[in-house]
Amino acid sequence: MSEVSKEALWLTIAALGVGTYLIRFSFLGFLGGRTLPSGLLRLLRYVPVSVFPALVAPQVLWPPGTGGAFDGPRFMAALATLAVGLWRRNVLLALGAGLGVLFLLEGLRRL
Amino acid sequence: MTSAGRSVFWEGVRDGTPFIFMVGPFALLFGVVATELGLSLWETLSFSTLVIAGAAQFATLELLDAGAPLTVAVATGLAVNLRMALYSLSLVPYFGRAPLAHRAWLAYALVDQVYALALLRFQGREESQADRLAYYAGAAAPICGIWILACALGALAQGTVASVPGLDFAVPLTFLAMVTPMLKDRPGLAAALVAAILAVSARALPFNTGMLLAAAGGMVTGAILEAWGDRHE
Repeated sequence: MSEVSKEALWLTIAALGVGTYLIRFSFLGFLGGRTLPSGLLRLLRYVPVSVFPALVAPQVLWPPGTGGAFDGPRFMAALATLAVGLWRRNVLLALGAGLGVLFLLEGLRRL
Repeated sequence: MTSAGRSVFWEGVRDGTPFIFMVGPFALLFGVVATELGLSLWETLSFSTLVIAGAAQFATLELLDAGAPLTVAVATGLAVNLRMALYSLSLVPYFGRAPLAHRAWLAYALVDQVYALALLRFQGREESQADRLAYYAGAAAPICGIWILACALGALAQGTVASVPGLDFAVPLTFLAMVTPMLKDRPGLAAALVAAILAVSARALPFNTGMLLAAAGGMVTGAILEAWGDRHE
């Protein structure tokens, strides 16, 4: 980062900080107690189940940690998380299963 | 806070605490990478405290390091965070009537894991606004706390942190684990499936627009199927 001046760095941090806060504050802050139309409320019920899969799906197939190359252990870990999560409906069990598969397969690869 | 509110706060802390082990390593890594790129401890800590968004921080830092114009680095970071406007909107039914001061700190702590925990708790459960605020605060405390703390530790421990193979994938797995209990009905499952397929197909679009379009596609799918189901009941 030698070519980036301290001024540029602080400007970046400030702009990103303020911008990110405004994104988070946006509707919660400015819409306030207004009652939302029922059609919009219906859409909003699907925010988490849409945003998280959209965020994760490309990373499952092309993990940034491997430089974007498909990776067997990571893919299997994602499948295990999904399967246990759908079966037991429990966040920590699902995550435990996924991390277990991931570290097991990573360990085996290193044998 | 009433004693009931206090116990709800601790329920939030209990639910948020396990995420220390997923968010922590990611934050440590940010601290290490930032100092390796020449940021001081103070700069790294300010970055993480003011922005408090892992993926955007990494993206922005990488672009700065690669010599991208400042505007491009900031715009990319903001594009990565744009999904949080949806989080903000979807919290309006729960917190829209809370005093502005409360909404101001809620917004600061609106990170992915806190949002997911809050929705897992609030959807389908009648609860007073005070209890919801207490739960949110409890869940946010360990998650936001460890993000800032571990970034600082990473900056201090620079070079001595052993990398655990595969640990980079802990955060995507966390998101997957948090979304699965929400996939309770057909519209929800369809929304998730459509969003995932669209995100994979549109991943090459610039500025994270593929992810945002995919999320929008999932939401519309879920809402249409729900409306259709209502009409045929």
